[in-house]
Amino acid sequence: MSQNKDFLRIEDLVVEYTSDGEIVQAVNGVSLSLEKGKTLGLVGETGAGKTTIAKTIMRILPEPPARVCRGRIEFEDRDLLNLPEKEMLHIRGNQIAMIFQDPMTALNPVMTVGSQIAEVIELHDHLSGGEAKRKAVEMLEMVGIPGARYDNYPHEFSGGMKQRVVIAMALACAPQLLLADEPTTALDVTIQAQVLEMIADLKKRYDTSMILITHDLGVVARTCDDVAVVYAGEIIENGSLEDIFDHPTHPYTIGLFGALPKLTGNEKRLSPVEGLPPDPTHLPAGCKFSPRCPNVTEACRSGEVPAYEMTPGHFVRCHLAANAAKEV
Amino acid sequence: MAEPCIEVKNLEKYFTVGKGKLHAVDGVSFKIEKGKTMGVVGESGCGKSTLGRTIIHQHEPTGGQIFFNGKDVTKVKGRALRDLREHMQIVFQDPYSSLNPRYTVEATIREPLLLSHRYSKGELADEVTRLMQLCGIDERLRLAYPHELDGGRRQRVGIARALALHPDFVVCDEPVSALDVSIQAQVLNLLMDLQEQENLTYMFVTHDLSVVRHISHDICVMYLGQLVETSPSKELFERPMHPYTKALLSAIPTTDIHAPYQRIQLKGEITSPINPKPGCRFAARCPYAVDRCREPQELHEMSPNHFVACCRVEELN
Amino acid sequence: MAEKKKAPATAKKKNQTLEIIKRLARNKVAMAAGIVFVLLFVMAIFAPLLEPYDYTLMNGKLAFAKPSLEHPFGCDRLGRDLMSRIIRGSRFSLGMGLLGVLCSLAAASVLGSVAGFFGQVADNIVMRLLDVIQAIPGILLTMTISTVLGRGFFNTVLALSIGGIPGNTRMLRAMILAIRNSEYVEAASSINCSKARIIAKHILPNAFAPVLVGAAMGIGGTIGQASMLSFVGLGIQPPDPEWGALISDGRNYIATYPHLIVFPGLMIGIVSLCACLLADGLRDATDPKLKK
Repeated sequence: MSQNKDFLRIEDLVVEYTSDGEIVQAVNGVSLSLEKGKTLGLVGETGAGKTTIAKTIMRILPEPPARVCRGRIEFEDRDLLNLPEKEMLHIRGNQIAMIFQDPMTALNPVMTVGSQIAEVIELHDHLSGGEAKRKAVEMLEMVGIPGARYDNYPHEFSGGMKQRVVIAMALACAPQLLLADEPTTALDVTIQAQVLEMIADLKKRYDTSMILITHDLGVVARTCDDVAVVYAGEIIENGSLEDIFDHPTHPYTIGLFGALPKLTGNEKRLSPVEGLPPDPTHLPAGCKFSPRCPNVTEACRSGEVPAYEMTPGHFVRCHLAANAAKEV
Repeated sequence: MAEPCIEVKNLEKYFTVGKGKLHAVDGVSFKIEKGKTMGVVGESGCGKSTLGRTIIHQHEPTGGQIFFNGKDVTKVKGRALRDLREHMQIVFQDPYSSLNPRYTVEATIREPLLLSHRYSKGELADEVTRLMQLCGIDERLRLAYPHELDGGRRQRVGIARALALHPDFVVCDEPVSALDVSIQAQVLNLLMDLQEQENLTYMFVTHDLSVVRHISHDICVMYLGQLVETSPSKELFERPMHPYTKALLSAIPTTDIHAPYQRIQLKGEITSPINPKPGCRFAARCPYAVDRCREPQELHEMSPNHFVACCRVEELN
Repeated sequence: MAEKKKAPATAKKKNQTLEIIKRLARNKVAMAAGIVFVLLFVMAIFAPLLEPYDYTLMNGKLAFAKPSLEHPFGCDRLGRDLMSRIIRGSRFSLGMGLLGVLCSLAAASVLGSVAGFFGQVADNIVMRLLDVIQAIPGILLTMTISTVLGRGFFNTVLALSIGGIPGNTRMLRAMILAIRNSEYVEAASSINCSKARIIAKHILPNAFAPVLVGAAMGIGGTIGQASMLSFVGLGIQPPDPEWGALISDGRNYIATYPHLIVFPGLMIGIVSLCACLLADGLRDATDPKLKK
């Protein structure tokens, strides 16, 4: 992999937090890279550690209880984890922005939506009130909301419109990296499609890179260039969209697809992975997926499982993939 | 056609809100055959949950009729209503709020049995065991509290509670939308197995079209309280006829990354369901709307059991 | 597994109570408060046996005696042993504090359930009624009721409890409103739960926790109000040594003989504190979510 084109690089990130005296191993050695202008989909079940990864990049993890134990996050050749908070303040919002899942709680109910956007612009771009307002109206129109609704309050908007306002806020300072945490999960399909199209459109216009966190493989298929599948705080398979969707290799990834009812075809029963994700306070030894894996072998139950490169750029953390690939 | 388990005719449910009447369900008619699943899809606020709750008498209908096994049960009260409820049950959306946090798994499943006064103490325990096995709940979780269970297990407890009294008809109100995909698939498989074993009739309410296609024999599509299209499941996905159904289907994100993607764009404001004007509610966003759409719509039978509430359906298809 | 399956329901209920006590026992602070509370009650019950002297025995020589070995808490202005009076007084003070709060809780449960669960007209009637009660200043209300009912232990308890009803009812109603629309309540009605059972089994247990703690915190205040009543000549009357009455007795001598006020005041403080700590512990112990 050539180093220079990686715009965001995460290396061997380990994050834990303490809850009731027990240590929750939320992120266990995640390495990722993202090229400029690309979208990476982070896929996995609830509690897999997807949101923790995003919050670590933003440096908004509550510490304590959370603790970054190990790892590096490089963003345009700056080491984010060791940056003083003052510089981080400048990066947050200006260069990295985050969209949260629930648009209903992300907006202040007693401020008009326009002034909330203008506030962000004022803070980050140091513009005067009048200019900030003009830019805020521009942002609203860009996300498809008439500028005339600048003075409306959040309760006067529908869920989809609120989420668009939140996106407008996140994009107001033209960030280089957008972290979107389940941005459309709370929305109806027709609205979801609209919001996704809008995000894709804006991305193209500003050449923004994005990490999209979701559990919905359909959304990933529509928006992402690369995909990383997260299980119990580890990336168990990553590669390009085609790698993952056309040649899923890890038994967990295959199980994820098997669990989805298809819109075509006539299967009578779904074939999901049986069992439950492991308890993050007591992760199994060896491959974290081994207790649920249909093809488990003795070798899986102990020792670290390395990532094998199946085809260039397609990595799988499974011993069974070893024969077909070379170890990295 | 086999005997319908549930039939609703012109069902209406209005709620009084500040400014007037909210038409949550407005003139909906359909039949569900015994042992089959009717999927009800639509976006949030389209009245699909209200429809289910009205049929099982959690809400009193404003108008229309409900038939259960051929009998008009619209206006049952008292003793008859209690009997009826034993035959009609509901599985809820949110497994986190549908279980009493102070009830153990056993207490939750035992309650309907206890209230039916049909079982002695010893039989109660055995029956709880049977239901737990039926729904795949581990015996060691018998005395666990809901917060100790994950979403999938909680949902199984909710299903066991609903099936305790051997109902004929179960309304599943978004039973899997709060669950992760692999858990969702486990619960869907369970529901389908139970349907076969217990000969259940389902009404499956959801906004997830791929789930509804998977589990349903027939599908109703609702828009703001109105039924816009109803058809056998497969046919609906192959030949949607109502403009709204088409737009809805085109918006589903599929996992087939090579499929061509052409979404039908919807424009315009969503009509308010409070004191609405007669006529098609979708007209305000419909690309094909004409003056005729502002008049009350009738269901047109386009092919056997495929009904569409659109006055232009024939010229558009 | 098998024997658990066959265990009759009562045995399981007992286990649950045991479980709650076990969990309470792990909370050291609540446990200590509980022990103090039990000791206070034992003291109140066996007061005649525990008093070192007759609580009405006057001794002119010992008027205003400072604490000594013979009279650990000293003596009052009539030379009566203060310790004996405090021990005897626990019967009145603890009794009124606790019963007053319990009565107001009981009334609040009924009113709050009716208002919260049935809503609309019932809610309006109950809430407007409470508005009327709350419009009258608390002390005045308690005094008025006490005047109407007359003196005596139970009349005073009644008078004290009415003042606490509006606050408890409002809190309970708010909790019930939040719970009433939850799906498990709907589920209960779909399996033919009667309204009374829904309220008793599904709503109240989940709504009660904050009300319980609030009410426990009110115990100290209720004891204070009881003393206020004795002070103005209502409620418990001399020579019955209710704690508040002891304080108001000694108020003229606060500068010269502070022990007359310090000891009864301390008792009221200890009771209030223990009640709060115990209630807090109980709330945690009965909440299955906090089970470890």
